[in-house]
Amino acid sequence: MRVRVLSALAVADFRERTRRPAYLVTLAAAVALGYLALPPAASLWVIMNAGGYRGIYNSAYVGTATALAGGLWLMLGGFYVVRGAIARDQHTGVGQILAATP
Amino acid sequence: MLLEFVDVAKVYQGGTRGVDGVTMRLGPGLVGLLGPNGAGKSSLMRIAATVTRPTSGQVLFDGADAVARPNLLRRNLGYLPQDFGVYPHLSAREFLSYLAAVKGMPARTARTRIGELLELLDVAGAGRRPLGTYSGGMLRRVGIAQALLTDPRVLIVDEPTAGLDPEQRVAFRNLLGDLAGDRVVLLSTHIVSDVESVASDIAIMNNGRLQIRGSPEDLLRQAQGRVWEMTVPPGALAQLRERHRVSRMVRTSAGVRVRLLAPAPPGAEAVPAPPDLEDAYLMIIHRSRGPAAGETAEARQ
Repeated sequence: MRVRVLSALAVADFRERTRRPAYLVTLAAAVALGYLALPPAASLWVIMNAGGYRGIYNSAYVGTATALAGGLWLMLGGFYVVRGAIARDQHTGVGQILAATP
Repeated sequence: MLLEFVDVAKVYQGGTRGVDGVTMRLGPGLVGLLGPNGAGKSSLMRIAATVTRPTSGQVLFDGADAVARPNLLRRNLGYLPQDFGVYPHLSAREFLSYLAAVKGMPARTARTRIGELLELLDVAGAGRRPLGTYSGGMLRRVGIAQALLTDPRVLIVDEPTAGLDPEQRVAFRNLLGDLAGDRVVLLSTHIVSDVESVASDIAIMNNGRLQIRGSPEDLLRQAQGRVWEMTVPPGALAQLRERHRVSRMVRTSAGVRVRLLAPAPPGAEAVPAPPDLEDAYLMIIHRSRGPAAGETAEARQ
């Protein structure tokens, strides 16, 4: 498959998915989880615990913890957002048009 | 340029024959494919569009086998399926750009062509709105735009007027008539008026089989001398419908003006009427299903 066709597929798919409400919900949840990954020092829970020690809230630690928590959610939640591309083409009828192209 | 079906059949799971031995040659011009729901039109259209493979038989495009090597036909094909769908969050321009890329059009050519088609089909004003906000008629117009993107030599449109209002249907029919010219246009519908004004060649399918193919005049000849009009009291209508195929009814102050199909005058007051294409279509469809109860009774008498 040529690069232009592949990139057109990717762009259309990206646009279609990122304009759905489910995408915004997933994104908001990722941001919220990233926030929760940095509990106040006095709280009873931590995200990363290394032998009873917790990280100091500097930019490196905050970045790592936020990215890990958000990234984990994006993988789990994002799977449900991007799955079913073929089923979608079947359901919408676009698949028939694609099937009739070279 | 020629699209040919040679003894094409499609058998679905359970043994249902969607298409049953259809042989047909299509050259430039518009062919109207008529038939009731479930007649096998859409199955044949999907086979013609290379979306479905036939169970047996051949589809030839310019003599080349379009089943074994479909890409030659696909490069020259525009297809509007019956259940045409879109990505609802894309705009018409984005959706058409996507399909143009998939069909292999260069980006610059596609941009120009999309602009032209949206103007032609009167959707340019809404070209940047999400497709999910379009009415059924607007979506159909986007559907025909995608079918015309590559200026195809073969255009296959399946029930294109479904969901359109009368004015849009007329505009759509005229557009298809204009497009026919030097390309093969196969238009499938169960609405007779959709084809009678634009098709010089009509094929009628029922039960998966091609029942008849010919010009509108050929079809009209089939119903010549079999169309009658009479006015009956409303109470006599049920009995009349049991015995004959009623093609039209108009309620008037004198009773119900009925137009019906019968091999002989259905009553003393019946007057012969010139057949129209709808009469011919109904007669051919019902003949393919077998004689009606009344017709059998008349044949016995």
